[in-house]
Amino acid sequence: MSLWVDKYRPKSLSLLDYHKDQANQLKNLVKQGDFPHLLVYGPSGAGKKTRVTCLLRELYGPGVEKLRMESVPITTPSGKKLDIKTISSNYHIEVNPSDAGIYDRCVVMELVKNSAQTHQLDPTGQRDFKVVVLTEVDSLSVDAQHALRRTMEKYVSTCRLILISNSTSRVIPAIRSRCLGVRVAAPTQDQIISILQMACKKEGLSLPLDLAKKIVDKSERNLRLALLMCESCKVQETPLKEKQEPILPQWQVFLKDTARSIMHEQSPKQLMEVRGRLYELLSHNIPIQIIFKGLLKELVSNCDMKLKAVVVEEAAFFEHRVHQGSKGIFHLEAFVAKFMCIYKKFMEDSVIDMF
Amino acid sequence: MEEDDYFPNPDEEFEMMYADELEMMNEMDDDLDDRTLVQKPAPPTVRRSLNFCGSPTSEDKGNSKSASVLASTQNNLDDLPISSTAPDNSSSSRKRTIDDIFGDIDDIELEEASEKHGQPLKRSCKQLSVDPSFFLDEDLGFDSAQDKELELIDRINALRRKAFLEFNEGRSAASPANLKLKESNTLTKGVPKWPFVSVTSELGERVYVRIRSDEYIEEEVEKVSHKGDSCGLLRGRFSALKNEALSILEKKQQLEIEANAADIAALIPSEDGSRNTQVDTDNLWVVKYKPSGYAELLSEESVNRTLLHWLKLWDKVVFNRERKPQIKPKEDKKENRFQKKPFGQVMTDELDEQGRPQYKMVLLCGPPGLGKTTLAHMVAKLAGYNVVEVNASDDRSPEAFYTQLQAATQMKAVMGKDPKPNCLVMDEIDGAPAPSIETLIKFVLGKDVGKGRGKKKGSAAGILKRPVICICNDAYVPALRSLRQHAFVLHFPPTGSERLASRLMTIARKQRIKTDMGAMLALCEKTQNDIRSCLSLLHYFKSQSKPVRLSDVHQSNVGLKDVQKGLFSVWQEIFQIQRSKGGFTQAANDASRTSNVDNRTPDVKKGDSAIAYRIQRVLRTVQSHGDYNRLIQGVFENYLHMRLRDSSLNGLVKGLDWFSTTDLINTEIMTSQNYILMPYMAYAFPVWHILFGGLAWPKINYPNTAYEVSVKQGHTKQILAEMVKGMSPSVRVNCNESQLVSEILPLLLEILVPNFRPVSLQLYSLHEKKELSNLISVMIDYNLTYVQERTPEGTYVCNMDPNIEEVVYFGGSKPSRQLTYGTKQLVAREIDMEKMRRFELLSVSGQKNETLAPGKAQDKTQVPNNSDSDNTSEKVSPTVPNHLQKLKAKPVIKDMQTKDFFGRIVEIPLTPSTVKARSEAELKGDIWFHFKEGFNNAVRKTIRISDLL
Repeated sequence: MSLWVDKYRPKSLSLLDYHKDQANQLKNLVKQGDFPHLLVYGPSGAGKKTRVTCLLRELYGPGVEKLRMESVPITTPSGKKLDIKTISSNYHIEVNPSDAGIYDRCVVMELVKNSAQTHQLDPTGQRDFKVVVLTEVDSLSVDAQHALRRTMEKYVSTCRLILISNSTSRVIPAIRSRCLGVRVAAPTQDQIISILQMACKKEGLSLPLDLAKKIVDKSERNLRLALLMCESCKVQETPLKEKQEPILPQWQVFLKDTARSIMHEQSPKQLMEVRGRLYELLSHNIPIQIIFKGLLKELVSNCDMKLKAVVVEEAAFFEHRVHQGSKGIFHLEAFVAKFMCIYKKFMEDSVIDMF
Repeated sequence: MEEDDYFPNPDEEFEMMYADELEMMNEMDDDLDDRTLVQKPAPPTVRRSLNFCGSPTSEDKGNSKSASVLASTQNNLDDLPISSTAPDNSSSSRKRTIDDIFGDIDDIELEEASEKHGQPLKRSCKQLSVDPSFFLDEDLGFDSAQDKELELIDRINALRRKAFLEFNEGRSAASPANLKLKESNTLTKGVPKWPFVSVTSELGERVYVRIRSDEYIEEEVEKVSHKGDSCGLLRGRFSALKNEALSILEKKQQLEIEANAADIAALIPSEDGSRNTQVDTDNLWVVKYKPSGYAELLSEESVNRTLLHWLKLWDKVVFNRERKPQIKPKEDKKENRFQKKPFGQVMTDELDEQGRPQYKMVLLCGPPGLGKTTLAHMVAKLAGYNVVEVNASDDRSPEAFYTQLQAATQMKAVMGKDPKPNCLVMDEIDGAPAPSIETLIKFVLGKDVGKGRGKKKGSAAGILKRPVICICNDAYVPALRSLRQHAFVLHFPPTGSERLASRLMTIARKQRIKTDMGAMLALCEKTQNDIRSCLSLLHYFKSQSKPVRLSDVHQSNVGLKDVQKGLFSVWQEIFQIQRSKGGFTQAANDASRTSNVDNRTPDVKKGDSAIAYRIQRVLRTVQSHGDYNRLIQGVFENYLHMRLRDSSLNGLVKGLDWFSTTDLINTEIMTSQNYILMPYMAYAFPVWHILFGGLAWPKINYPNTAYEVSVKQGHTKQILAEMVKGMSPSVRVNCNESQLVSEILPLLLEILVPNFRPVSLQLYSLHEKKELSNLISVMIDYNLTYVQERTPEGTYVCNMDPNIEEVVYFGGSKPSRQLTYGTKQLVAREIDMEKMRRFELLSVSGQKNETLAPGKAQDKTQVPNNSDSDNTSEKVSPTVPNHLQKLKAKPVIKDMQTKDFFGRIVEIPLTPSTVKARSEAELKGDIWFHFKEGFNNAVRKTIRISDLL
């Protein structure tokens, strides 16, 4: 009895709904009793974590599902004390090192070492290694990644790492080469539709195809989002109807409004207003990359074809700067201003052309 | 003369001086007497007789012409045998006569000399009515005519007579007996052989006075004047002494003139460099051109006056002097004028019961180099105080500070020539530690109340009776906060540029630096009217020994003060284009570029130079401030409010590009500690200045948006963390924070609002019950609940407990659908119940697990325990010594074995029912309470919480 997302999550590799070949391969990998470090990557909502959980279950049996949350105290070299929340079973430990911010290096070093240095006590346990799952590796700092790479080799006999990230681009090559990359692509639209329908069927509902398509469109092939939307639709109106509009997350609506206001007027005053809205988004902890992406998408969709390439290029430039710098709002605003400038010039030119 | 100042009454003073004189003269007399006694048998009488018969000598003068003829022949006859037979005697006698005539002359001479040396004998000389011309005549050295000699003698006699008349008349009134005793060649009682004049005394005695020739007298005089050492009274010849004295005087004068010349030379340096440098090394100009009088102070008159006035208020308690009433109205008028000025505090003339002014301290505050310390010293000296300065170089720990305070305010210099009361000047007090300042305040005020440490020593003595002047640069240092309340705060306004410049001009003139007023004004502007640095700069220019022009002042890199401006003034500098002040700065630039002014494009050139100047200016201001990050933030949050001219937004893009560039640099600095990049951050500011700067007055707000956003971000994070903390692990695994925010939570809120009829829970349909239980389980999984909260209006609302609504909803947007208040309450209650149920389930299952394991173990261990328990206890006891043995509880034998009469164990056949009961008891937990068992036959039944819920 929980959210559909959790309820209809497959528990074992054989039950996975899509990428079945990959599931089989993973199964075979585990069957041998040993496997290399894994780097699981793919877009959000594609099922990376589900896959990893299934893999662990395949590896250690149902004991893996007995999870507990612990907070591990970690002291940084500068003497600062941190508490890192971990989720662990008897066989594995999962941690998000980016919780520790700039101290992620310490987290990686301490935790991996700690869990790697302790051997499995129970010889009857299935494996002689533990698994450390690191999530959100893309936000791991370069230092931490460098710290990781030696540890990976050193404790390979007692510990396996599973790294989960959205893309490999921010994982340093040294780590990439030490891991077996497992790409989990987002499910196709049909796959999502079938999953949604399956879920609805189990709930005793019938999902109209149009609505399912709408949901898939809006969710951008994010299965989790799709399932959540579907459930929210169900809450809205119990017999699901074709005409229903799936609910979008509030911030997306907000971002769309922002993009619209940028298109509407290009002036310093407007820029000020846009800045306020961007600040609002940031204060709600919406990751700046997502803001960038959403904004760009909205802006580009309303642009002339000629402009699109330019705008995307600028966005890429400033998004890169966001990663290099530390004050996101500067770069975000710089992008908005740049877009305003380009767009305004284009509009003026086209007006002139008309006459 | 100094003495005049000391003794306002000249008559009194004269009496005192006169007494001295009398004494001295008496001593002289005695001295003379002694000498004459040593040299000859009865000299005093001789002298006196001569003195006495001053009139005969005048007679002698009268008939000198007749007598001289006689004497000329006789003298020669007389003199020769005497001198040949008894040279000693004759010399002595001759000497005696001369002594008699001139003997006392050195009284007069000394007096005269002393007068010339400026010693206080002058008056007595005047008293003796000595004509200065007489000595002028004497200067000629006795080579004048005979009558002059006679005149001289005459005068001496006259003087002596007068002196005797005044001094000795009463005392030793020339007893006639003494007169009779005289025995000499000059005076005889009998009729002498040589020419004589008969004189009859008052008593009728006839005395014959010998008449000498003029030549003889001349000779004698000559002898005396050339006598030299043998005389004993004078060190050398009188004229030599005279000359010597004159030469000493001359030398003195010469020295004085030289000193003056040196002073003048110092003020007006001559061309040759050697002399100059020598003078320059003596003093820094700051010291040299320190104001020497109140009128020379450069600080604003009102401040000076106020401080002086305040110090004067202390007069009553310090000097025990009432303020003069006739001055009062005048000062009151002034006071009124001051009071109109916008001082924070108003100084009143009122004194407290101890006669002290209302404020016991004055706090002078202002930027460095305005002359605060100079003013304090000057004014304190003017008011008649001895300045005791305590500055940052002294030990200012509270204890040392206290001793210093006490020493300065309660003690007084006794050793100095003119002891003055102390005035304490606390320089650079803003650097003093806060406890020391507390001590100061306690000292100043605590005594007043009578609670201070001083009370132990004595009631009145402990009160602060000396003025305290504190000097600081920044009055708003936290340590001075309490001091500011108790002190009269005098803010030092910056010195007027014109005033300072004109002073600089005078100094430059004195130093022969070729310069002009414009350059000096520029200098003042450059140093922001800091007198000290102006002088240093001028000194520097002087050492270069070339004329100082405006361009020099502008181009020189020295003397630039690192004045840290406030944040707002820096921002203002960035956003506002400084209008050139009357072409002053503009002119400077033009002047420096006069050589390459192009006639064709003067405007462009001018514009260029202006921009260059602006860039320089902004750059300097920003660099001197140094806190780039905050400055950048300020510019970022304010630039959009400026009026931007270009419609194409290109400037905006450029400016923002710089923002992101500075952020990159900053990040690089922060991450790699690569501070070498720091200077480059400053170059963004001129760009912004050029792009966004306007002529209008910029309205600048403090940049707090970024801070607010970060606070909000923190708040959101906290909410999320709170939520995540309580989430069930199985759910937690599948969502990290960013996913929660961007995907799960927004939709979760939509999902958590199923349609419920507003009816009682019991009336819910099966479907609704299922929905509800689903909702509740989801909320528990995500650690959510509803909490009743009271709004400020007084109504109650149910909010989500980790208030994720705040996280999800933006600005004004509100959730489209919400559960009703009643439903929320119901849900909250259900959540609590469900949590309890789950907890119990968890504990019961845990209990089962735990009880099972020890139960088995107990069963295993019980059997051997029972059998040999007695044996083990017996075995253990002997090993432990008696005194170490402790009382031990006897092991309770759990299974009481029933024994028969003979002690044999009776075997009770185990029935299946008892076995089952026992095992059940063992399974069901550790402890069982049997409530009033045996007394109550009521039906007992186990009831669980789950049954009640």
